[in-house]
Amino acid sequence: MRARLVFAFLLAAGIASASREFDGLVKAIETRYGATRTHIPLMGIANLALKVARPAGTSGFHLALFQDLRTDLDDETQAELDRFMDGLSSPQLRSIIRTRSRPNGEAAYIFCGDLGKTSQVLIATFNSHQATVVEVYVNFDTLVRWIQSPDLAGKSLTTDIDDDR
Amino acid sequence: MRFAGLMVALALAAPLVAQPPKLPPNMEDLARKAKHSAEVTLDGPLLKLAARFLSDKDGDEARARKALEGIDGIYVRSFEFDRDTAYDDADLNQLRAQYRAPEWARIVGVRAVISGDNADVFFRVTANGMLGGVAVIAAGPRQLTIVSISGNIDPAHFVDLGGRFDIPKLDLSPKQFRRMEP
Repeated sequence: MRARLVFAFLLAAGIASASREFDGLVKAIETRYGATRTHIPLMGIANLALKVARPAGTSGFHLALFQDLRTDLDDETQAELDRFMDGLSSPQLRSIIRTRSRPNGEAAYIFCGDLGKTSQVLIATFNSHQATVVEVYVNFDTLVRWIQSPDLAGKSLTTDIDDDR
Repeated sequence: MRFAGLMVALALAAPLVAQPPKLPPNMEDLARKAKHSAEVTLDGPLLKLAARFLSDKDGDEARARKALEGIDGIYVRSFEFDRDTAYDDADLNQLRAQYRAPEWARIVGVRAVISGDNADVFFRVTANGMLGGVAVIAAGPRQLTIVSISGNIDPAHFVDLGGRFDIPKLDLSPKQFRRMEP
């Protein structure tokens, strides 16, 4: 019985709801561009594993892929997207990078927020018919240690692989 | 009275707080006109976070990390157009007017009549002799880059930020200023 409770708790943690900004962005893409979110099997399990293992300081993520965007990011669509993205910015979640390339119909937005121990990073990329939205919760102290110590990161990954065997 | 004094002090201090360059109204939709555009906004805790990703052992990164100490904000707006006259000189002058004396001093002004390229570098010097801000406006017929850095900037370390965070690499070595004989 206790095992079932623990399993139910872990499962609930794995499929914990995304942030308001992530949900809002996904919904906006679905409604404004007539796109359907591509289903990715076992995403909840992957998220659960991430919450337990916390590789490179990452404690959770949400991912949404869209492959049938009915837009070529023309000027008006781009302006509308910019206005929507501006609306996502708040003192808690700030836009740090925004790039656009009109000939390729590409745009990328990076937001970062809640810079305490764990930070929220929201990344949205668009090209002519595809969009990807990723939200990651990461401890930057741990991530920096990983990046600055490739040996440590390598050993950690090797240990994970060995453990899997 | 004390409250009024506090409000006046806050009002005077407000311009010193890190803030992105303000584009004139006609230039606000430049990103929409641009073929390629990039906006980088790094301030407050985000800047400290960026500094943490720079190694304190590697020579170049360590220098850039040192340069970031004391900086409150880095703002870059870069636009590349596929035609001339995406913006006009009046808009550009309005942009430059944000960096006027006595608070700011224009230390470099380059105008190339034939190519149409021009560049301005503005420094804000604080009472203690340190740089309180640096602004760079590089404009050409088909491109415009605005860089604004605020905070206490050590001039000796400022150049080390070039090539990072979308800031153009600045080569201010003496050989760049060698005399050109006709």
